[in-house]
Amino acid sequence: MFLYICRRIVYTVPIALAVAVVCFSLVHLAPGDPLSAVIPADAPAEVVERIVKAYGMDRPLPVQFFSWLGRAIQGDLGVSVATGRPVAAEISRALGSTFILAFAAALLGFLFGILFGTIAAFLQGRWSDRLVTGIALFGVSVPHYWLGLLLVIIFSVQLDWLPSLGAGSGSFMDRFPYLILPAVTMSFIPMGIVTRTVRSTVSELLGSEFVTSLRARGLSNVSIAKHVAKNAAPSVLAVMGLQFGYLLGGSILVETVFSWPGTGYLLNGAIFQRDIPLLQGIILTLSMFFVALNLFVDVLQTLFDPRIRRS
Amino acid sequence: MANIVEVRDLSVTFKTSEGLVYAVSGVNLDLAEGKTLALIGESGSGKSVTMKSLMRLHPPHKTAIAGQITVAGQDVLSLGGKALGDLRGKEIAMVFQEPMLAFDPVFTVGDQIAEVVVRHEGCSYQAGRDRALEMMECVQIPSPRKRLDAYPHEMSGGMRQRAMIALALSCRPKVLLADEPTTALDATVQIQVLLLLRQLQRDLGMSMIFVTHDVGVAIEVADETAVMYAGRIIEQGPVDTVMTNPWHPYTQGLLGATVYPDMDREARLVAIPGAPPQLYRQITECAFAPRCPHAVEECLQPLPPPMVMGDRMARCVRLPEVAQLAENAVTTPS
Ligand SMILES: Nc1ncnc2c1ncn2[C@@H]1O[C@H](COP(=O)(O)OP(=O)(O)OP(=O)(O)O)[C@@H](O)[C@H]1O
Ligand SMILES: [Mg+2]
Repeated sequence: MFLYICRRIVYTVPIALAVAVVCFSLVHLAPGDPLSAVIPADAPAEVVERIVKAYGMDRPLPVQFFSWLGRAIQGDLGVSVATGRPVAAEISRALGSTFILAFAAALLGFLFGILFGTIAAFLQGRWSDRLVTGIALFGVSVPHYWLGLLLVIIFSVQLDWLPSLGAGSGSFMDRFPYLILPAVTMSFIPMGIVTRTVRSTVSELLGSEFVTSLRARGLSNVSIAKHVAKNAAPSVLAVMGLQFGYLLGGSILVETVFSWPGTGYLLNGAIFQRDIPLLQGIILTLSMFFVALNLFVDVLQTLFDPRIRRS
Repeated sequence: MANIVEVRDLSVTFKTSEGLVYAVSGVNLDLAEGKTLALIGESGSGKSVTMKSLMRLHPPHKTAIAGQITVAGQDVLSLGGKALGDLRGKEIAMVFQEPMLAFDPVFTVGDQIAEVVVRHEGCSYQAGRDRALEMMECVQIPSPRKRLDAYPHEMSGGMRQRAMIALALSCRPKVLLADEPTTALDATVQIQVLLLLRQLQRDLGMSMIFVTHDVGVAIEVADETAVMYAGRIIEQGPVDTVMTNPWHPYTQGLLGATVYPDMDREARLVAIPGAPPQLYRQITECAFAPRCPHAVEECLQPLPPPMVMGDRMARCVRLPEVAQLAENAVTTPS
């Protein structure tokens, strides 16, 4: 078990390295000169040369990559071109907001997803199953920025119940109302996907021979549910981990719609201002979270299914 | 002698997307205490459906069950959820065909046995574990203490089936249902598991219903036999008389299709031509008629009630003659 975890961690290193390469080269692959935002169009040649040198862009790419990576590992992601503040500080401020939003959305989405999926699996083919499956389908297919706008129109503009912009300030209770609409908006996709996964996993398990065998042993429905839950856990966890990763990284549109001061909002700004160090820093940080999350889910899965440990 | 299992006029119908499936029709069974009944028949004849009905294991909303089933004095088809749970595993237990599929893959074997013991005897988990160990010894699993903490996938096929038997017997059921318990195993292991089951059945004084394709196995383990075809029992009686002197042409064919080591080459090749019928309609005539070498016009009329003679029963329109024909064939040296 311990050995398996160590091995898994070692496997993660090349993946993380590859992700770093992609993050770094993204900037160089993108059209346009990465420094065009800093250098005025009419700057004299020697000024341009000085700036290029200052940013280290005159060196060969591999050298640039390793010096960038070395500093990134120490937590130095450079300085934002737009604000002049350290990128690491900008990101860590935004990361808190993104985490709160992602946690809230995940909590809502996973809770309802598991609930709906279980109901649908147990009542397969009946109207409650159809209703729940319909909601799940709606959840995964509706564009969530559109859903966000719709919720804002209903609950902020028409009913005036909830604020529509920003994250608020002050105590948790003061800030809570600001969280509701973006969290609900973001929870729809994970809710739909988790519902579908739970429904298909649980209904397959319920039809399997071993559940018949559990019934033949006289076990109560509660005990059988315990068996089914432990069997369903690995695949449901895998999907939830992936969804949580998407919530962390994929909230650009929703954060922008709600002006939520998280990494997505920051990323959006960085893209428009061509703020390369900030852009690289955000993408690298989010990707690393994603890699770590995957590792965490993999290890968690082995706690539920002994067969994974062996292979 | 009291019957521990009584089935009267059991019919099981499944709702499927292609329509109703008449899987079992009008089955009657009696099992005396301490006896073994072999249920034999081709694939799809309704053996497993009959067995699952005895424990009411079919998916409730897709299945219609009619008739009466009594197990250990209880009317199985009218029991409520809790009482049904008390019966299953305690009074009547099942050994499944494929032990790999019948164990929960993510719990250890020891835990699964202990769980059942705790459920039915209300004892502590530790007492359940102790019983599990005792049962693993009882079914002759080597180094049983170590195997308690093994997961099903960590065992060999034969050992897994022994563990399944240990689980089924852990609460000392009065009736054991064994649905082709050896089909999924290697030939040598098959015999060991078979002998183990027979031994345990005798030692514990259990009653057993044993499903098999194999006439030789039926003769080995059973006292009584019932032969199924297309959802009906077409012949029933003491295993030795039925097997030496089959009345129904289907049973005769089944015996012909069985390979005995001392049979000569010609005789081995006798198999029943054709295939069993589809079960999408209620078959009221003799379902075997299309494949029967003795079929005549009147075989397509609705089947007459079973012909009972002494301790034997068979359902064939041409009964006395056909049985006689077979007997002559056996006694006439060819
Ligand atoms: N849940 C179900 N839904 C629909 N049809 C079913 C169901 N279970 C069994 N059947 C059908 O009932 C018939 C009898 O099946 P059963 O499993 O009892 O056969 P069997 O005699 O046990 O055969 P085998 O030797 O292959 O195990 C088959 O035609 C099968 O397709
Ligand atoms: Mg079967």
